[in-house]
Amino acid sequence: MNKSKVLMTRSHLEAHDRGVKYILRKLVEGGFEVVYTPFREIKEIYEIAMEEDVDIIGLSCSATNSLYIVSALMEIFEKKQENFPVIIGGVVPNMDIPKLKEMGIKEVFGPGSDPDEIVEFFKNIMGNSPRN
Amino acid sequence: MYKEDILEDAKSCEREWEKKSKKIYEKKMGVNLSGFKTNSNIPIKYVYGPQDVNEQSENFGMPGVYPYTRGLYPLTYQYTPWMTQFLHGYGLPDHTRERMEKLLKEGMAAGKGVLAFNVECDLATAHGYDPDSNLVKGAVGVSGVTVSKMEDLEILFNGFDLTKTRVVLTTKGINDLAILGMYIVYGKKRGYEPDMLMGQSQNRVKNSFITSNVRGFLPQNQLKLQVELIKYATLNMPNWNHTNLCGYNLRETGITAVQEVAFTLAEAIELIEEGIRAGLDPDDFVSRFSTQLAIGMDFFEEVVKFRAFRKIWAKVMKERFNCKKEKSFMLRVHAHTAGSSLTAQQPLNNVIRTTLEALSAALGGVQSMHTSSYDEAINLPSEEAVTTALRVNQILQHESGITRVSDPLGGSYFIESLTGQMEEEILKIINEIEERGGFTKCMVTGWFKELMETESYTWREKVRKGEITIVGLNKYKKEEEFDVPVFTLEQEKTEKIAIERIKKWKQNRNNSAVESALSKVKERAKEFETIEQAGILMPAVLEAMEAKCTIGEVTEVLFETLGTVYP
Repeated sequence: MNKSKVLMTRSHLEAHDRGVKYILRKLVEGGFEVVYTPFREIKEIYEIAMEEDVDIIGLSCSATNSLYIVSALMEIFEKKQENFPVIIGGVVPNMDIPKLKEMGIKEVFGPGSDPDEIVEFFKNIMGNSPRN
Repeated sequence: MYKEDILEDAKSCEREWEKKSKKIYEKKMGVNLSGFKTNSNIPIKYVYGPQDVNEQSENFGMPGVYPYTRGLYPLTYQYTPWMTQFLHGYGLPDHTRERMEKLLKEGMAAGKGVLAFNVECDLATAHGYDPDSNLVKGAVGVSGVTVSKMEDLEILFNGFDLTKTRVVLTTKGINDLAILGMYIVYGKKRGYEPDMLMGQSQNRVKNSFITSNVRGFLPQNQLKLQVELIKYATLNMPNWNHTNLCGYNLRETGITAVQEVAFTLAEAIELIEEGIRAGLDPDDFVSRFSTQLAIGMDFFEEVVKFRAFRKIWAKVMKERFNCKKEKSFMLRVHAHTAGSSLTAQQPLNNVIRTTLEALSAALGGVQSMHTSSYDEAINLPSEEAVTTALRVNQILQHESGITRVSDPLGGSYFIESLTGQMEEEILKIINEIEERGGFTKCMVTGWFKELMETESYTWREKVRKGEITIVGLNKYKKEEEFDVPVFTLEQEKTEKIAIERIKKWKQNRNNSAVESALSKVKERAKEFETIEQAGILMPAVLEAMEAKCTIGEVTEVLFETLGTVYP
């Protein structure tokens, strides 16, 4: 059976990467294949996801503006008629979370989230994903 | 140091303690009497006595006396409390100026008659881009203030006496020549010569490459740029700290306190050697290194870290670099409470964490401090949270009484013993780095990164398994989280204004003068082949700033010429 594939990414401007690097190792331990590449322009998230043919995108936002990145990303998805489930991790203000979910983000995991719960969430998404 | 009979007495007391402990704890409770380890994995005993420090005790010394283990000055905080230097900045320079004024009003202080602004630049500026670059969309004004042109400095600093204002523009260090150049030209416009200016450059391009995912120049060129700045500042700006040795960023990647100090000192040693190759006398520039260490939660280890740091520095400058001037031995330290120790859960607990960390740095005798705001794991700090963080310092300084005695923990058997152990462990790692070819080599081979990632993963796994307790996160959890007010910035509006302003700036200057200034920078950078040529580049950077170039423009030219590497 093919492993499910995840793109873990963050802006090239993000210095904070302890979280994303830890979670990507937990995903690998949990049986996922993981590609980790930072993006310089938002359209690269889409391009890498297509090129690598991933099933899920994990986006790490700790300093950068997640509302801005996500709205631009969703615009690209719509234009290209493609969709990837996107999960966010990092430092995201509570009040932004409903807006992010409204835009289509599956879940937002803040600092100190339980890593087992995160891996479980990725697995559940795979269970429901049309791409599976 | 101790008389024979006192030592014998102490040893017999210890034997009795052991006997009793074995009887009560080992036999009845099954406790292992070998003791715990510090966060840096240094074994410590359950209790200490004179026998543990007998060999080092003659070196306890006094504050203000070489090797300065007990503090840099004879008196520590009795009359000059540590400076409160808060890293701050967001949005447009106008926003940040407002925050600066508020911090001053709340009592942020750098000493008698001196102001200090430690201004954090936004993600775009920090990474060397102007706000109109395509690569920084959604990042302008985020995590700091947008600074790209002279006008921004005017908004930030007009009205302040620059001979009494310590200015730091914090970036990742890749554009420090341009930023320093711009500040010098700004100063000149206001009638201040470079030798009248006080402040600091970050000048830590290698450190940022390792810790902050920042693009760097080719490794051999990174060293050249750092030495260029050191040389310019040494010859022209006696009140300027040319390089910030940033242990803080190293530590925040997950490494231990021992590794933090060792890596930091290894970088300093390499830079000093390169500075000497560039024709400088260490006595003329080593006292203008500034340092910034993190303060973590292992209270006593953190106290001791500052003592060991100062001690090793003094010895290295005297014994290895043959410095003669007293100030060369005296390492001034700025400490920054660890952002990574804060939790998003039950955020008010962070005030307690920060207070403990600040207390350990104060007992370790630092010169200056930044204390984190309790909401830092949630968002950019709100004004209220920043004020509370400032109050941590003020309460320690004015209410707690800890400032009455210099090095109040000095002479403690435990503290002195641990200082010796820590010194030994730090020196071991410095030696290892040198055996591996030095700081730059360890950066290039990825050795630092590998260590950092391993340490960070191991720590997080221990938290997950509950082997390390973090209150509110994996113990004493609460279902209902306490909401704190969240600071917000109208980011898109800020970005729009910043882009409009830089466009206008570029329209209202002589663009052919800009072009020729930039090509001169390029030429000089190309000619800059060896460290010995240091001094060749800065004059061209200053001319570019006179010609109204932006920080991003000069930085791009340098990247084009000196090669870009991505982490």
